[in-house]
Amino acid sequence: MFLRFRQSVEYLAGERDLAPPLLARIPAWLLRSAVWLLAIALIYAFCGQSSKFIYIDF
Amino acid sequence: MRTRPLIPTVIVCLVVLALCNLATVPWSRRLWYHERLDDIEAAQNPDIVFVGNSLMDARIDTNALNTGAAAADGTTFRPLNAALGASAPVDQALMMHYAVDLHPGLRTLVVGFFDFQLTEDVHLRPMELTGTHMIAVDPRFPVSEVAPIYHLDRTEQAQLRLLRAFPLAANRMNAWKYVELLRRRLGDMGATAHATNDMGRVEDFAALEAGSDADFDRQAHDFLQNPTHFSASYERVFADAARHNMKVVLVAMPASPAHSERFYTRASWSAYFARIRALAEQRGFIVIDATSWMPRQDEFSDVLHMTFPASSEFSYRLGKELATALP
Amino acid sequence: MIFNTFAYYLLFLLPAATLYRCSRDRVRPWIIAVFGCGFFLYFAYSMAGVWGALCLGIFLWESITSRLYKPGSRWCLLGLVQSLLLLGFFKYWNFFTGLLFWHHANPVRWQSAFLPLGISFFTFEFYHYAWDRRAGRTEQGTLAEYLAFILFFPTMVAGPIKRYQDFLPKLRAKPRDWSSDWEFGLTRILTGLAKKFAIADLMTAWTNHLNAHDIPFADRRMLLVWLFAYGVKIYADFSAYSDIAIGSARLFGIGVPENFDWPYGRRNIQRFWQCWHISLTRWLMDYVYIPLGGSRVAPVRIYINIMLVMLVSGLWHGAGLNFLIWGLWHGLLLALHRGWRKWRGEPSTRPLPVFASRVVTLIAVNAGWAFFCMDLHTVTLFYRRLLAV
Repeated sequence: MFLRFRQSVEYLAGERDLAPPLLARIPAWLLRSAVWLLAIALIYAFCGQSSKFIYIDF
Repeated sequence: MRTRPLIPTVIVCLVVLALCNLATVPWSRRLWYHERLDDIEAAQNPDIVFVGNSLMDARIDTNALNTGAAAADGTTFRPLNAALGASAPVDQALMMHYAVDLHPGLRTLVVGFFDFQLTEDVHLRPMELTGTHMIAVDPRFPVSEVAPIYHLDRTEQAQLRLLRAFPLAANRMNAWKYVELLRRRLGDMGATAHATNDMGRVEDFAALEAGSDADFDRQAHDFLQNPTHFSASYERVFADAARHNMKVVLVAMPASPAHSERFYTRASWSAYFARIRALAEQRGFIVIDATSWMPRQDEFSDVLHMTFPASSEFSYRLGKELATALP
Repeated sequence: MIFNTFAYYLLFLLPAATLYRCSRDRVRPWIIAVFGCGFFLYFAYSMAGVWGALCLGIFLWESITSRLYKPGSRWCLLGLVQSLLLLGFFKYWNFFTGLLFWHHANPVRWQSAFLPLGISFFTFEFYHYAWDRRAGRTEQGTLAEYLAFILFFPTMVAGPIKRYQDFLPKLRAKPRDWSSDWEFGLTRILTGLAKKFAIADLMTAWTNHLNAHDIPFADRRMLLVWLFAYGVKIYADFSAYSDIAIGSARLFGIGVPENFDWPYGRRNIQRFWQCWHISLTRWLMDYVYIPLGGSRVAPVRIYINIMLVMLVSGLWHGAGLNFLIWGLWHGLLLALHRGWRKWRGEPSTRPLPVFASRVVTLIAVNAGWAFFCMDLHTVTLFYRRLLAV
């Protein structure tokens, strides 16, 4: 089970070219779009961590 | 055979990003700087406008101001607080410009300042228009109006237009703020807690002061080399006031005992302040020195900002002074 | 970090990868070489000024001397020596001279010392090429091909450490499936960046507390959290960098070696090192461990070789006593593991021992990170507080 999880994560992250059986049924463009959008959202939200904040309105 | 998902993926991502950009617009309208601009628009016949940064933002108690004014000579003000926390002088110039454009009935301008705020200016590049500085990105101000206030050249004006076209990029710091809050919560776990006030961490506000005594003296000296004018941004503020025949009042904001003892006892400050007062009086401005109005450290939530109870007391006294000083 | 700048993508990666794919066979290596030079000049200048940028001359000198390397030739020895001298001078001069003048002012300290961009990595690639040329394990290739190898900018700064004999056929092959390459390459880059920002950088909210000021006042349980956070951070950071490098290379249609293979949670320290910074482990095996005799010598020598290899690894990671101790710690773990295996034979397959061995390995590795991220004084403070000694 852990092996299937690893293979799935590696495929989604672009490390593995062949989709594992679990993910092979899902259209590739849909999976890729979901991964890209999630990555872009995380990059957008977290890329400012070296910025200096003095004022934060809680 | 495997399908080729690259192009469909790119298209889907671009579409979703475009939709997110559109969705950012109504979201950004709820941000506090945006609401401050809306407040300026919605004000009813104000006759006195306050301009400044966080020392004055949310620190003018209207009721206390009018109680003080009434106690002096029965005056009542209709104040408009256009001060904006974390703002640079260029932002304050834009706020003033907006306020007088919308409310030609304004009669008095009150500028609250500390240290060298009146004579130091900051050139903000378009990519630095984040946080409060985003008022310059707000589409209610034409680029042609913003450009001279922020000293933007043609390239920078193009960059500003690009920022306006991508609200997600313009609003990035508003998203980063939540991550910063998460970082602070994580960092505070099991470690010495940081003192906070309504704006952030108390210790962070030390960054608003001069880095050292030598740095403070240097800033005073820089002005005293040629003490003939205020910074370009404040000259613009005063020019707007003059155009509307407004009376100008400069208020040296209350300083905490810690800040006063460290900086305002220095000879450089005395020389600087004397020159500022002379320059102001030359222009017919009124100068109110409120630096020693709050003598207790517990009246301040950090090195510079008054607590809310102290700001009520300040507003009361300011109301009295304004009522007495203004014709 | 270079991979989080717009300049990397807009000025170098995307134009280079696109031009590379559209060019003829003979021009392609030169595309990489030219962009590699531009990349080095741009980022080296921003980090170390004019002198940093001038270090591009190191690559040009190496490309010239590499033309002399032939199987069995002594010129290869020159290549080995100059690689080590470069690394030793730039990275270790102040460290070793500081040791020499222990507790006294160092009269030969290089005051304005700087590190040429990627020196720890490109010198290892130079060394590998010289060694393998001497051993006859790799062909020479053209000057353009060798320049493309050493100036391949996706891997220039932080690896993975490439092998010329792996790289050359990929360089010579015509890139075909651009759609698939760009799909996987861009995915790898995006997930690498997300890992870097959302995991590695976030962990600094905790790891920033690993200092002599905060440790004495911290809740003792948080010390463990901070240490494990560092383990997460260094893995996320480095593997993210590798992801971006590998993804960037994929845009060219060039495959470079994987560098990480789920290292945390491995059964033992040997497996850990087979899955952590894989290209470095292989380099150390091929160019340090095996030349020292590897496992074909007397048992005592084997253990000494293991310790020496990890000492080199520690020193390579940083010029400091704490890095040396980190290396020795891992050497000790590897030696202990070898001894344990010799004594106990084949590992158990029962769930509990397997789980226990994974946990012990994870703890041992993370215990070592303390030496990686703190100086010796602070590490001592940390462990004394943690263990209430």
